[in-house]
Amino acid sequence: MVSTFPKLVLRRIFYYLTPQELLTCTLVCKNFLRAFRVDPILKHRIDLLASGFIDAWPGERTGDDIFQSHRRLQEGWWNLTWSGKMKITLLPGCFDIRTSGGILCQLITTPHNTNVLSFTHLPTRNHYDCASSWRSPELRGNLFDVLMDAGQDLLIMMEIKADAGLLQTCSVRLHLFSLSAIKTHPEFRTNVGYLEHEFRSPKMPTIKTRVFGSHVGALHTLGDDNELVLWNWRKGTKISVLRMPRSQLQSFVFVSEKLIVITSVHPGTGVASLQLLSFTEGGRLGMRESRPRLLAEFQLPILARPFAFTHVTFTTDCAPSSQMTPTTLANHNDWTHDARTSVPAFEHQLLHLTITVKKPGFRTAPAAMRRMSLFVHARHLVQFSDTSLRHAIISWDRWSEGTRMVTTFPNNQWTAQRATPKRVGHLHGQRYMTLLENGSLFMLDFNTVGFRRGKDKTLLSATAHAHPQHMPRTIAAGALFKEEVTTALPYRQIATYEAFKYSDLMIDDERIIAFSRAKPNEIDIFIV
Amino acid sequence: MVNLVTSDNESFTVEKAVASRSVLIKNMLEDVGESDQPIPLPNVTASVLKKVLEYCDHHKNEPMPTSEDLAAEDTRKRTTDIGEWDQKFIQVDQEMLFEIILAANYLDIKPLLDVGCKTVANMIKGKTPEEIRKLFNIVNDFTPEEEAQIKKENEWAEDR
Repeated sequence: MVSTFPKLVLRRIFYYLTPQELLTCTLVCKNFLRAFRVDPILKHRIDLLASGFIDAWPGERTGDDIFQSHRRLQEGWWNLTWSGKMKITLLPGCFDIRTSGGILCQLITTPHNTNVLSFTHLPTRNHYDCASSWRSPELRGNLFDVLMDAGQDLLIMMEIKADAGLLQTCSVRLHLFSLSAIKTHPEFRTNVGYLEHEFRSPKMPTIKTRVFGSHVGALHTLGDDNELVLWNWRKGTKISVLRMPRSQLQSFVFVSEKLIVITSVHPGTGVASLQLLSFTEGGRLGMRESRPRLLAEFQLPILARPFAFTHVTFTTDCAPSSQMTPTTLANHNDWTHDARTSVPAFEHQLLHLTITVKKPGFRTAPAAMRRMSLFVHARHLVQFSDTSLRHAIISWDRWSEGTRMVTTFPNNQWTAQRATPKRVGHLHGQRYMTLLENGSLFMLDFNTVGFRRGKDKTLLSATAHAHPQHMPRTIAAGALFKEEVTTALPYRQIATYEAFKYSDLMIDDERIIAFSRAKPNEIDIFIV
Repeated sequence: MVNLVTSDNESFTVEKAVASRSVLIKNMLEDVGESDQPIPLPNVTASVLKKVLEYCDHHKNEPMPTSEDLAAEDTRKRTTDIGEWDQKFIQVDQEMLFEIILAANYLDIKPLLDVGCKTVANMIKGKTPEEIRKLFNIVNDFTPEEEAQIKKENEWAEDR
């Protein structure tokens, strides 16, 4: 009776088989063979088996997984499928994790109130295990934060020292280490140097740090002001300190080693803008601090009505491990890390802006809050500034028109209404991922490399999960912005079929790191 | 309530939500509109429909897979894992299993079809062609020459 099944049903059954099992089935009877021969997908699997593709992928993976990986290589990311999944149980006392270049760093508080860092190699596409792990000795002192850039073999540990005296000064000290040296000399004697900055603050500030190439930036709040400190960590010098009112310096991001973009909101008009600043190391040997120069100001679309509160921040997290130089690559030879895959080139860097607005009159009702996501191509910003090195104000319709560089999403359908959304949205390179309310993963893929233009109809019918968006989107005037805003940046929208029960996620170039909702000390790693 | 009539002229009255698990019936209902007319199901016998409706009733509160989900299906990762209830449900004799698969195919109940196909795939896994034939009572309709030919074709894949 099986042999008389309609071909479609037979193929459905065959889809669950590995290439080896498929081969066996071709020998059963003519009907099986026919069903198999007319199906390109099944045929393709056998081709994979023949090409020796399977042996290149060690681990407990079936031919089906390999088939999926292969398709992904051809088509870019379509659906959210993965070639391997792994569960890692976090060590007791782990309060946060960092990841860069395939290394997972767990920040652990010991019972003696000291800190320990534990490093683990995450599985990669080619090395499907994470056997090697190593840990630091107990760190005394006040470990505040850890920043990693595996591409540059850099580990930064941030320490804050508070002086409770009259002056109420705090100093932040960034200890620099070579990541690979720590592996071989775990006693942390391999300090490359440190960077320091002192400021007056009655309490411990929150500090947002980013690293890009040889530059490190730290943004912290001092009273009504925000202060941005920039260092050159290779030279150990402070490049610049920028202090501005909080509304005018809400967040920052590097777009190159010489350029940063800050977000600011004009207090009077409520016009939000991105400011492109260039900073150069002042004086001979870079010993003197210099002030960043404002190159261009990109005004964002004007909001429809005066909102009580507008907050624009970058949630971009793609700069780390973006600068792979040959010298640093040499250090990676003994690592299982596949360096080729982890270089999101700067010119493709995407910045993700979150615009939060609050209607006046309401205090904290979530309905009164509205969040918009805006994705901006860094390259376009930089191109604009290159044409005129004088300070220029570029209004929204000029910098968005024809460049197809921006896209917006109303965020209110997305989650992010949780108590401590640490990593609800995560952008890496050109992929933005977030969790939907039901706990399933949702991704916007701006990587257009595998994007087949002009065939959108066939794509839509073939894999309806991925919606390639070519057409400009229009946000009607008055909804949020004053004028009609037309935006377009080709992207694909990808979501998981089953709801994932995760509370938090991080992505990097080849994996999704998801935090289990039920068991907070467990993370699942999907290799994609 | 919806009235369904099987090929052996038995009629079943079920909730609309249950019957609508079948895309075929759901579309019919939408086409016909509100009406008490019985829906004939000429390809399904009473014993099979009873079983299928049992499945539909158990899953009636689950969201229907959207057309997007279904279209994306062939590229999404496939596992042969079957839910606990479904596994119990599908523990039937082979003939019934095949009937259920065919009925699910006809009635367009994708989740049930998947459960059936997975079950069959699991039965096939790890068996030789001869064992598969024996298991499903399939007649080997290849001539020895044809068989040798396919084996030869497969060889490059197997040995590489």
